[in-house]
Amino acid sequence: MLEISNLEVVYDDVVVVLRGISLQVPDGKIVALLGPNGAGKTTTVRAICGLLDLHDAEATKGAITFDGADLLTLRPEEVVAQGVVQVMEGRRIFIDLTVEENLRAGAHTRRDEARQQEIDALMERFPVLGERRHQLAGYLSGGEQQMLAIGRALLVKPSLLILDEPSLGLAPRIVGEVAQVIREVKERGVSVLLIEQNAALALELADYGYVMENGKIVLDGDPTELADNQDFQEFYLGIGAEGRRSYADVKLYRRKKRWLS
Amino acid sequence: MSNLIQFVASGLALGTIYAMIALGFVVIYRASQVFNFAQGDLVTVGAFVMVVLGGILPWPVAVLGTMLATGLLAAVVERLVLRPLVGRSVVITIILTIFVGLILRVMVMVVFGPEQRGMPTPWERSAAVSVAGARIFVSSIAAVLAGALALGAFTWLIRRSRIGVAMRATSSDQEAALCLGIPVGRIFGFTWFLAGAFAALAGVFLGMFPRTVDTNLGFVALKAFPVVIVGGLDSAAGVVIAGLILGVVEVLTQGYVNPHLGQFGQNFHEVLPYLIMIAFLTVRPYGIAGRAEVERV
Ligand SMILES: Nc1ncnc2c1ncn2[C@@H]1O[C@H](COP(=O)(O)OP(=O)(O)OP(=O)(O)O)[C@@H](O)[C@H]1O
Ligand SMILES: [Mg+2]
Repeated sequence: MLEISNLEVVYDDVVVVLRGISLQVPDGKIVALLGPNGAGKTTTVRAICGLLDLHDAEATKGAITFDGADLLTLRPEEVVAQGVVQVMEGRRIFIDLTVEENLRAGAHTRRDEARQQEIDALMERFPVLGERRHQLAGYLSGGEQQMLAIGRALLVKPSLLILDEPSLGLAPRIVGEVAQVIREVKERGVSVLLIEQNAALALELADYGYVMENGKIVLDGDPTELADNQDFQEFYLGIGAEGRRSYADVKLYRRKKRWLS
Repeated sequence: MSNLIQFVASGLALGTIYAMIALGFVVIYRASQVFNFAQGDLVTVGAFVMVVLGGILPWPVAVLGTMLATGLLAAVVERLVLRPLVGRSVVITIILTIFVGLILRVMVMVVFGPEQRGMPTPWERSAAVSVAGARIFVSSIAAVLAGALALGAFTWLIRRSRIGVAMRATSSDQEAALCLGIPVGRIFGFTWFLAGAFAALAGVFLGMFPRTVDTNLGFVALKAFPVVIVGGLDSAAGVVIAGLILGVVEVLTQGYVNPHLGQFGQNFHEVLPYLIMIAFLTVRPYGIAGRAEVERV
């Protein structure tokens, strides 16, 4: 189980981005973390994965443990060795490596026999990747790149997979495919922390959800509770008194709210 | 005609040496964006290590041992000096590597003394074969062959091996590589090992041409800069081609152009690579095979 308690993260010694967040990802569950741009979702992932140093950030308070191991003291490759692997925001495939080399990079830490079999199995599961195995990954479409990024991470054999906005910039049909893959990942017994702005997708998949704003968890509950919450409906599902709102409206509204308070 | 063959042969040998020095530079730069200004001093270290090992071991074993020892030294330098500063500004790493180079040179001076040494060779030092009336040094042939072998091994390593894929993944996207559990720090160390091994091989053959080894040997690395710029800071293939071309151009210029330039032309061949480099910097700063967005020093 992943357990974050009271985590505070500061960038460049001054910018406080996470203000004491706590959340849990139980084994075998899908947990969603929702929130608008700049809420601190990616920062949370960086803290889990040992990447704060790389971004001149520091955890000034709180703790992150995974199955008892203190992740805050580990280097990125040590976190991966604990079984925690993320698919980064923006996919971040190696564009100047071939599709197959991307997968081999994913299997870098694996020494077991099954490694090549799993690479082959992945290319069967995603036939596009198989057909293009010798092409540069940079030439794949956005959806194909996302599948490659997820496949590459699965080759590490994670017990917790973190997906940072996997639906970002993808057509609805492709988002459906991503959702299907996430379900398959869960069926394998892998826990998932799903970061999303697409609340509908997150609620559809998740067993539990957290909503984050300005570096704080402002709401949490299981999907039905969240879906019933009026604020949540209004800001994240876009269902308000006067029907659907655009995201920009919501932002404007929030700014007003802050002025008033 | 026989002159031409002779010039081209020594040009290729010289070019191979430049290419090996430049290759080490590129391998380190691609992985970690560090400009290694100690590359030349690793050449010097390699040459001196070979002077010692060549005296006690069979030649091929001594060469491999020299590459291994110099590579390990380079990896230790990376671990102790550069690793703690990963991610710092380019300027800091430049100053640091210049400093490291100085220390290496002083170390060589202290250990081996200032006097010149002979570079051991398994063949008679001035041994040559005749090709179409031209005399080609065995040392030149050996340099080109050894360079080709090293390059073949390097290509296999980088294209096919597990660590090669990890190296290229690291230079493509360091953070994404970290997220897959690739130990990026150790990859940096490995690139220094390779650079050290290549520098040592360059040193072994460079020491055969003036046929002596002293602490100034490393200054030849200055010649590797035009090679790196012309070939492309981030292109291994580019610097190999550029190395060979500049080596041949240098020797041909020395043979055919210098004599016509009178007093002024005595060392024109030494200057020409820099003139070519400046031309490239203005016209095509990313070199013949580099990527356009590569930063400049
Ligand atoms: N390297 C950094 N240095 C300083 N501030 C940063 C850095 N990275 C992020 N921030 C700031 O931290 C805050 C949270 O950023 P973060 O990327 O965690 O948000 P997010 O929830 O992932 O947003 P998005 O949905 O846009 O990806 C933002 O205000 C951002 O400007
Ligand atoms: Mg983000």
